[in-house]
Amino acid sequence: MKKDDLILNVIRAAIIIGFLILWEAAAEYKWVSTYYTSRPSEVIADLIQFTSSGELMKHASITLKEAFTGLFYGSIAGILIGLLFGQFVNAGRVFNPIITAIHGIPQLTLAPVYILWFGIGFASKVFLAGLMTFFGVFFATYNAIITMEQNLIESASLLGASKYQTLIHVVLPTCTPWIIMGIRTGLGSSLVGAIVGEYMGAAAGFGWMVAYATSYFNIKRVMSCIVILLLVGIVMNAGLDRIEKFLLRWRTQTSLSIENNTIQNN
Amino acid sequence: MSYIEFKNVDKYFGKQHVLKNLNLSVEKGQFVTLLGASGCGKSTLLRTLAGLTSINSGSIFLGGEDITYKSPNKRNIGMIFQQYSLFPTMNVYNNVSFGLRMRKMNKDQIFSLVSNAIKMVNLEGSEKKYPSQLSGGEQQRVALARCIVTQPKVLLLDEPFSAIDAKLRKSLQSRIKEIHKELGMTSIFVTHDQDEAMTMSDYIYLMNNGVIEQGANPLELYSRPATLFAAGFIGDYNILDGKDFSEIIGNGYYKSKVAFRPEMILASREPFDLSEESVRFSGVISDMIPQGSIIRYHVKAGKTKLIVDVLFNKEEFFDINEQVYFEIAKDHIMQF
Repeated sequence: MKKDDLILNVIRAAIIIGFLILWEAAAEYKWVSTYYTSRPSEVIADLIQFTSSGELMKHASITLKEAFTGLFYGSIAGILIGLLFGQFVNAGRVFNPIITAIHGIPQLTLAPVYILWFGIGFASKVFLAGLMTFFGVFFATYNAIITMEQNLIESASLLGASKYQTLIHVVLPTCTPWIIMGIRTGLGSSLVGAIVGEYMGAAAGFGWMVAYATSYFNIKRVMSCIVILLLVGIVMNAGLDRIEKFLLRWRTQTSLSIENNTIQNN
Repeated sequence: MSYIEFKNVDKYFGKQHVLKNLNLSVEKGQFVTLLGASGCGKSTLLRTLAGLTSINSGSIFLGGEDITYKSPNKRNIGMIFQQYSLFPTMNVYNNVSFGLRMRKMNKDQIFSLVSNAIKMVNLEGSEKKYPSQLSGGEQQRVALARCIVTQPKVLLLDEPFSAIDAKLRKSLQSRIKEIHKELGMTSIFVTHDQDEAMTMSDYIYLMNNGVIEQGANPLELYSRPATLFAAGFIGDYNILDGKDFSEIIGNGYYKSKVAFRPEMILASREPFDLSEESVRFSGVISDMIPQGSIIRYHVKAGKTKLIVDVLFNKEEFFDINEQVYFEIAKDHIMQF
């Protein structure tokens, strides 16, 4: 680990530990009511109990499966339709405003409708998570293609590449930074979609657990769920960072500080 | 039939007639330049040959084959763009090998051809660098290697030096010319810079407003412009009204327009002897601009202003406001 990274991690850890100490102290000296906020020591004890009872695995596996299935299909659909509209410009001109208009509808308000359509099981949550992922990935892919330098496609063609070869070897790699950005946004959206779907109607999963615990004022369980979701987010983003670093090793990383602009793989 | 032929080619962009019933031919192995001001249609003409822009009517032939409707990836034509247009996701080696990989050539053969092309453009050791790690000149050399490695039937160069500084431009120009000769290629070069066109070309087509104004070798184009536009575009011809010119020389009769090159005028402090083969006039020096090996004088002869180039000679300068005598051979005066 580089010295800079070490310092960065120490600062991050210090902020988190400082926050936890403050939270515990606030609860201990009754600056806040534990009835509404619980306290770190209680949350940690609950997390241990939650894990050892096997309930954590059960609920986590349901929610994550819904979210990731939605993320997968939403991303695939977003990339494919983005590419399709990038290729067939007139289709893009027709459908892009329609997709933008649908995107304008808050999808969460339609969650009950999706439950009506697909039932309270797995499918409705996957649909909601997938739909929320789709928009981010679609817009990122479509915009990446329509703003791509035309000369790159022309160069590829003049060098003998077919349309398919140009798509695979030139268009997709060049659009990767934007597609990854769309997937990164979709990561959070898919979790939100799955959890809100569970809120609306489910028999298990983190969304159901949070709704159930809140109705019994079991705040420490709500906090435990939030901590786990936070950890899931951190792990997934770290994974995406690795993938991004590998796929975008060609890209110049720019910072506002003039002297620090470097190639990613340096 | 020539190696490349454009026959009665028309191209419209909406209502704008960009190429007007254009006919042009290029012989195999020639280095031909399309010269003209921005918007004259020279880049469009290049793009129609590459297949990147379709034409409204006419035909284009390459090596005896009608390629008018052939898609760009089947024409085997190399093109270098002004903006380099390297694939940003690929390192130098992969950029150069791209065309060969698309043709599914075997790896050993690719390695040998790519190494050779990279060597030709003096970029050995940069194979693993990405375009964003290279300077403008280096990127343009990669673009050149990427083109020549596929041994194209024609190499098209669309203002490739516009974004490159003057010193590097000169070395790239000579390297491209060397490679053109070494590989026996046929090249078509587009530029608006007449000096660049003169330096690089075997033959120049001067374009204006969608038509070929004149096609000639550089020396002929320079010394014998066929039209007033050609005279105005190539070099710094003095272009005067025949009436004004007749007035300043005092005798002779010239109608419409006359054009003559500034270095064809002789200058002296003493009046020239009378001669049947030349005309004489006098004028006052209004400005003097040293331009390396020559000195450019701005002269006022009556109401007429003209320029006169004299070889640099430290012994003899004309002063500003000095009265000077000039002579020009009738042979060098062109009438349009």
